[in-house]
Amino acid sequence: MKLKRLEMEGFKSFCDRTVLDFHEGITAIVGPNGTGKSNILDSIRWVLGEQSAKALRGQEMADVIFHGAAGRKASGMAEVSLIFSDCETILGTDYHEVQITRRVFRDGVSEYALNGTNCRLKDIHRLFLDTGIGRMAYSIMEQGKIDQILSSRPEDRRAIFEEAAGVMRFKVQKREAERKLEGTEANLLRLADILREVRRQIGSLQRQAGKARRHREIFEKLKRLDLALSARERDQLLLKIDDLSSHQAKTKADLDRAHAAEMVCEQGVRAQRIKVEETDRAWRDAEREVVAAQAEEVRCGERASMQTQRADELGGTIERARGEIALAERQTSAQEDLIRSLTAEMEKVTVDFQQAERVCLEAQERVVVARRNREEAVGKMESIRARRESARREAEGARARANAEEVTTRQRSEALDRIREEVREKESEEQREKAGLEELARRLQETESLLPEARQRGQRAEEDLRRAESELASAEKRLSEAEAEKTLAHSREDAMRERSAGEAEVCLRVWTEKGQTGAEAIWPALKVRPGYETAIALALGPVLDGVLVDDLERMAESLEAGEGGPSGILISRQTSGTPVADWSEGAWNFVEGGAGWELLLPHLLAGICIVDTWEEAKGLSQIRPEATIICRDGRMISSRGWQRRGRARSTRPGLHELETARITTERAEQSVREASARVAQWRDQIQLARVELESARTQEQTVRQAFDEVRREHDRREALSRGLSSDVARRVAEMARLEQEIAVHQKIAVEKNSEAEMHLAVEQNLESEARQAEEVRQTSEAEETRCNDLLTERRVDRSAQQQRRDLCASQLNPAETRRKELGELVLKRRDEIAADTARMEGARMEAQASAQAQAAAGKRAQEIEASTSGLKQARETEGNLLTQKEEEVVRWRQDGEKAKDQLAALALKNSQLDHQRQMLADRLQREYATPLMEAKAEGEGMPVSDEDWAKLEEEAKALREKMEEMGPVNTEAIS
Amino acid sequence: MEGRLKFLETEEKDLTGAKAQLEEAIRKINQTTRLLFEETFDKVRVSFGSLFGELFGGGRATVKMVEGEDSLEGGIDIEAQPPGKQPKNISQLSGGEKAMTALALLLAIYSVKPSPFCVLDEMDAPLDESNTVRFVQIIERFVEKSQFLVITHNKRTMTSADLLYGVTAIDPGVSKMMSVKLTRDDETPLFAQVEA
Repeated sequence: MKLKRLEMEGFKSFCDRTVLDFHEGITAIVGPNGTGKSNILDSIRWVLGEQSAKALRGQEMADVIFHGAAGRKASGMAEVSLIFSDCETILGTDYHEVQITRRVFRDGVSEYALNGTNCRLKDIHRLFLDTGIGRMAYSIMEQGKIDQILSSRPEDRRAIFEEAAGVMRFKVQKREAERKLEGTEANLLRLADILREVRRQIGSLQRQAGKARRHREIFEKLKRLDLALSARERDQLLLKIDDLSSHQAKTKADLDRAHAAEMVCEQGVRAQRIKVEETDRAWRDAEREVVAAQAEEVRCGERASMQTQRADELGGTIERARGEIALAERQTSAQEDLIRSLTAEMEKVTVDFQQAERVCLEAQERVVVARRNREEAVGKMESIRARRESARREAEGARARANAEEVTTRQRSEALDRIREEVREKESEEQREKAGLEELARRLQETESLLPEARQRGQRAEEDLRRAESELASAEKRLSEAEAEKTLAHSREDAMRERSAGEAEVCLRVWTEKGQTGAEAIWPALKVRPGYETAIALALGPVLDGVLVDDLERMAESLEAGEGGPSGILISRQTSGTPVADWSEGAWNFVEGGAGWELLLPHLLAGICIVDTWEEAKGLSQIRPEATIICRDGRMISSRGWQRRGRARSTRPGLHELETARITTERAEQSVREASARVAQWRDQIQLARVELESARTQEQTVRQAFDEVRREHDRREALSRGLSSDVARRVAEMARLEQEIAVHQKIAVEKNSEAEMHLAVEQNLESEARQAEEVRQTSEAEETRCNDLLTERRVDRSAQQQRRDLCASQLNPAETRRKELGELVLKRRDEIAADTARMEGARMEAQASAQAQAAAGKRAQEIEASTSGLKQARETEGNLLTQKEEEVVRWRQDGEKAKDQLAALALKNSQLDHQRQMLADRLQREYATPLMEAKAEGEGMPVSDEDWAKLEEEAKALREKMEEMGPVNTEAIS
Repeated sequence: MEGRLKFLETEEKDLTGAKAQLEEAIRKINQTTRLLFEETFDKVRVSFGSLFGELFGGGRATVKMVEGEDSLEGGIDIEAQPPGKQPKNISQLSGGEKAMTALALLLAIYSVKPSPFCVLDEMDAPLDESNTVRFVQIIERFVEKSQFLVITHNKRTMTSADLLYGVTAIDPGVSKMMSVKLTRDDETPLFAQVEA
């Protein structure tokens, strides 16, 4: 489907018919603001059925009609048509083209048309449903409303999508269906109500049926009676009607007769009236003709006088024109004289001008030549000057360069001297530095030689320390061993002591436990001469383990008091001594006891001698056989003959071992002491070694520091000296470079100087040349000036000539023009004279004719006036005849009126009777459904006399009352 | 009376039948409508997204049904996110962005259901130069499907037109139409001025 054309007329600002043909693709509408572009869009929406005037930017719908402008009337109607083509598929119509039109009139009435046929808006809506076309659809996007798609409510937006989805059609169908559904439901409800009612009624109907049957019986009877009565009434009525009819016919005949007579009379009147009118008209025509003829007469008179006047006027005009012609001819001849003189002047002036121009051209040529000469001279001079300038510039450049070179040379030699001085200084400094450096190197060697000694001393001290430390370690180890041994020996001794505890100890312990005193062990109390312990122990025997008590019995009691008590050897202090042999070898000599023991020991050791050696013992046994002799080493010879031989042990069990252990302990303690002493000694030594090491290290440090210092100093000096030497070398190189440069610059300076001199010479040459050229230039310039002046003069001359020529020409032209004008004027005037003469002739002739016509018209007026009086008389006689005839007609008409009144009264009566009959018929039809004519008055059981009829009437009345008493009866209930 | 009763009963039966038929019809219409609508809606959504991206040179946009409402009656929400911006409610977009978004939506609908013609009144007014170029390019793509009648002041839009009508006001309040026909293909009459 395509949009083909839009036609508008009287729509908004488009007052004339406007047609827009649309193209495929994009059609753009452009133009300034306010020219009505948007009205085109409005027109499209309007034709598609826009109902809101506001949306079309108006107050009411009639506002879309063009409402006038300056010089234009408002339209009475607006019409827009929109034409689509290729519509078959999309719109589903048979037409190829579809045209929709909308019109609106000033009174606000809208009309729609589809292909020229009037239709409703709904039809147009239906046509475009779901095509995207429509006043509300998305196909038309108004100015400034684009974002309304976005800002409208989500539900409104949906409409666009629905249009696009093509569901609008379904929506309409759905609405229709819903409406139908509502109707159906309402119908159903109503039907249910009715049904209920009907069902209820059926019950009551059956009750009513009985009553109705009874009613019918009465009704049938009443019907029969009533029908009879009605028949009789009918017959009476019919009789009356017939009578009335005959009367009516008679009256009608009278009326007709009167009518006929009236007609005849009236015809006579009409004929008479025509005759009167004819005569009247003839008379009036004659009168009018008289008036016309008189008017004609007057008009002709006026025209004749007017024409005469006009002819006179024209004669005057002709005379004036002739005068003008004579004047113009005189002027023309004067102008011609002027022209002739001017032409002659002109020719002369032209010749002069040409002469002047030639002279001028010659002068110009001379000027050109002079100017060329001058320009050449100037050019030559310029070139010379330029060359001189360049020579001078070059000379100056060369000299400047030479000067610069000399300056450079000077600078360089100064620099060279400075550097040379510096080099000398540096060299001496370098020498100094070298001497200092050698001194330093020597000191360095010295310090370096000191260093190993210090280091050796440190190493020695370290070695000592290490040795002392290892010694200390071994000594400490020994000490700890000795201490361990000592502890072992002590423990062993204790164990021995425990083991060798004899009866004496046990007894003493028991005794002391009982809180008793006055007892002591024998052995510990003895003081044995050293080396004789074994011998004493052997000598004492078991007594050795005995206890010396103050009160022997008490002790014994306490020992024997309980079961399992200890036993022991008890010796009382009160033991009395026996006399002792005075033997030097006697054992008692070798032992001492405590106080009071002086007697006891010799007693206990009586008869026992102790000697040093076995030999002495053998010798003594010979001397004293009664005595038992004991050797210090334990060998003994008993007096009873036995001998103890071998190495004897202490007689007391464990005593010897105890002794040994004690010795071992002592030895161990001794060794511990020794070891401690050695450890202390080594510790002292380590201390010493450490001090020695410390001092050695300090010394080494000092030496090293001194060495480092010296070396640093040496290095610094060395770097300094190296720097100096490289500096010197650099300066020497620079010196060489400078010397080279100086040589080059000097050479260049010499070259440039010579060059400058050469250029100066050239310049001087050129200067003289320039002077010559300047002179040439001045002469040529003077020449040019002179030529120029000449040219100016010539030009002035020429322009004067030209002015003169122009003046002549300007005078000549107006003279010519004037002459031409005058000629034309003469011709024009002549033409006018001819025309005026002709017109004057015409006017004269016309005046004559008009006078003749006037006379004729006067004559005719008199003739007609004479014939008018006869006509007037005839008209009056005819008028009298007409009045008589009219009176006759009035008489006949009165008769007719009377008959008509009578007839109307009869008709009224008739209709009354007819109405009665009709009433009767209606009642019968209503009550018994029987036509009136079928009721019968005669027959079986019917009364004959009037009395019987009255009785019958009474009966019917009674029956009717009875029926009325029954009330309403549902007769349908029977069926 | 009994005859009447019988008649009424038949009528009731008929009416009940008719009601059932109508209800069935409405159900069918609803079903069809929903199917059609959802199909179109999905197409429009896809098309809208791509056109939006094209017009904005990036970004994201979609349409969706208002949640919790039936697809037969429910409203439609639009979400747009121009490139490099936070996703915005459409009321927060600038004027030009709004116009472009609306245009994208409009054209998306056209692409799904082309209307035979389309009238755009100064749609390009809020657009800048580059957006106008994109606008014109997209419009030209739709020329195959439908006719465009554009009212414009924009020269770039004018150059894309096949037919130009100029509206002038000779007298105040009276419009006059001039047509300028541009021929692009054969170049011979560059433009012919005709009094319309």
